[in-house]
Amino acid sequence: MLARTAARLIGRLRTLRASARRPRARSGPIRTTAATLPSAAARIVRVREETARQFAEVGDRIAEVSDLCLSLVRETEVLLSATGDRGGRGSPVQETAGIVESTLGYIESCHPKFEVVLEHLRHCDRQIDDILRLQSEWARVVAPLKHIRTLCRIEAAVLPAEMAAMFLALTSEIEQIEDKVGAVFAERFALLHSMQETLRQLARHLETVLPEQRAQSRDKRSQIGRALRTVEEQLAGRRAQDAALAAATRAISDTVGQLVVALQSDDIVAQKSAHLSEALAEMTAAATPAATPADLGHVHRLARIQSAQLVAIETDLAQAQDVVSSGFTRIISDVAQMGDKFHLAGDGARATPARDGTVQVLLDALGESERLVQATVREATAGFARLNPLGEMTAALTAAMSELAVSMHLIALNAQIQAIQHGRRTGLEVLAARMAEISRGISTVSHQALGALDDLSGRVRATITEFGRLCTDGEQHIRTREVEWRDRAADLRSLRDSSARAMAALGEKSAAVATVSRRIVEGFRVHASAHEELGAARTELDRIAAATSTYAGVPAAADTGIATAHARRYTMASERAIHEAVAATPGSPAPAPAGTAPEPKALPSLSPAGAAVDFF
Amino acid sequence: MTKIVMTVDDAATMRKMVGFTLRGGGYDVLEACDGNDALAQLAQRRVDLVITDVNMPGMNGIDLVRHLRALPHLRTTPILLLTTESDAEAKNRARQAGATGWIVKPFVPGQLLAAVARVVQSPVAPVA
Repeated sequence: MLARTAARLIGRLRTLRASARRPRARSGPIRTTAATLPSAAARIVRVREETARQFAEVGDRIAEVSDLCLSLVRETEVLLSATGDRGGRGSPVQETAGIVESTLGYIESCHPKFEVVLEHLRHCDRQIDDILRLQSEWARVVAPLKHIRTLCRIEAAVLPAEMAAMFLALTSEIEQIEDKVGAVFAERFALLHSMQETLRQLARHLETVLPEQRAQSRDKRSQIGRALRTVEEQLAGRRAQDAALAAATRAISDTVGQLVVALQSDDIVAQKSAHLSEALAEMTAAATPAATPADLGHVHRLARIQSAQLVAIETDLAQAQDVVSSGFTRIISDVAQMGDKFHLAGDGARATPARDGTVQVLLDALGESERLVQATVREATAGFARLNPLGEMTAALTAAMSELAVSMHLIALNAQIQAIQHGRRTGLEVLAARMAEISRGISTVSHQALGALDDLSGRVRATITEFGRLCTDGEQHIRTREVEWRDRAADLRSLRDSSARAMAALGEKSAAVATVSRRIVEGFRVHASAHEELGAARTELDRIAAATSTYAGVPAAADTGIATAHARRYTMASERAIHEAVAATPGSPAPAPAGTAPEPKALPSLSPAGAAVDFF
Repeated sequence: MTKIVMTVDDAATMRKMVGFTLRGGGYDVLEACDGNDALAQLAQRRVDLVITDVNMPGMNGIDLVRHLRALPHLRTTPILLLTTESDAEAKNRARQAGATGWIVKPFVPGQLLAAVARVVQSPVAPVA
């Protein structure tokens, strides 16, 4: 009895269990699943392949754009270096201006020395005039000698032989004196004339050259002043440009960083797509004609979760698309702004030495100031060479005049002695007295001439010394500055050339960045192409979820094992969040009806970038 | 001397992003497309750091760590796992295998460089 009752109960339980396992409308959901799953999977694979290709292309380009941006920054730094301070020494431009200023200062310090020389020359000219004026006085003083000589000859003719010989000797001495005077007049005074002409030429030359040099120096100084004012403006502009460059560099670097983060979506999307494909395969395996209600309940939950995961993938791709498009658009704009700062007219253009010619002005000024110093040295050397023989000439004239005066004095003295010894009634006393008078006259004139000659000689020596000092100082200045001039000129030339190259490169590289970036912005249409495919796949999953909605309430205990295995698949925080959100609301409708994707922002997004770094 | 970093990832874009970031930071970068490729490249040579993904076809990142630790010349070389995963169990397995650290994708370039700088300066203690 008991056994029969038990057998009946077991039979009813089996019937009930079989009835519970048999779906009421099994053919509907299975047909739907069998029809839509392979199509959804194929769409996901297509999107994955396409996005992987596009992400890889952008990945290649980002390095190219970043390298171009880095080289742009380097080029702009080259441009800024023209006006940039170098370790407290000022900019190269300022340094050069300092050297030119110092050289001009040296040249200007030479001008008063040349003025002194000029004053010496003018004084010498006056002195020579004075000496030459003494020439007529000389002639007047020595003129009676001729008559005395004649008288001596006449007297000698009537005097005894001894006396006649004495008179003739006197005559000969007077002749020698006359010859000497003649020689002095003919040669020495002619030399004095020539010397005066030399001094006048030199003075005239200096009178012409000095104002020219002063004017050149003034011009150069004013040019340098203008260049320095430009440099000051550049320095002021440079601070603004530095800030702009730093901001642009920072902005580009930040954008590139965001692009790097965005492009990692590729890996995240790949992983999500792989998990999605595994889930679709699991759903396909579960949705067989022999599927139990629990299997179909599992298929229902999976369909809802995968629909939500598809929205997450779409969101990831949309965000990546936005970041790539806006990022490269921003790079184009930042690079254009950077270019504007260094290209366009206005204050910015002044920072480009090759364009405003500041460097060329300084190079010219450097060359000019070097040439001015060399010209100063040449003038001094030429003056020295021309004046040097004049010193000897004045010395020779002084010696000749002194000798003349002494000779005349000796002749007169001799005549007086002879007159005392033999002169009674010979007339010698008269001649001796007259010769003594002439000697005093010569002495007076030669004293005046020697005084003037002494002064002339002193002035000539001082002028020669001044010229010599100008030569030595100038050569010393050239020697000291030569290396500095050469180095600075080489620096400036290199700066001019490199800035010219930088300007050209700036233009080319800005254009290249813009071209590559625009191509990316126009070509990277992941979301646009993926949206349709993923939307259609999601519609198919939603259809499966709707078809299996009857089984949504089948107890989860029946597929706990499968659900756990499935949950393990979600290793990303965002995937887990979606899974938990959908699994926690078994009665809720599928995440979104076809064609009306929920707001992407409402879904859990990517893990915050760089949020988790653990060191073991 | 320039430090050499090997990046191991089956995703070309990830390798590009890691390589781009590290080259920008002044490192030389070697690339491997999976665990086997990395192992083949590192069999005879030293690097200053290995950054590897976890989920890769063929040999996964954690197995790669184990194999690398078995090589005498790489016993103290830092190894970072760079992965989308944030699973505590997986992290634990990586630690036991001898990994030096765990970074969750997506990384921020500056933070990756900071993490790399930190580990290449201080080689890890040999795995027991």
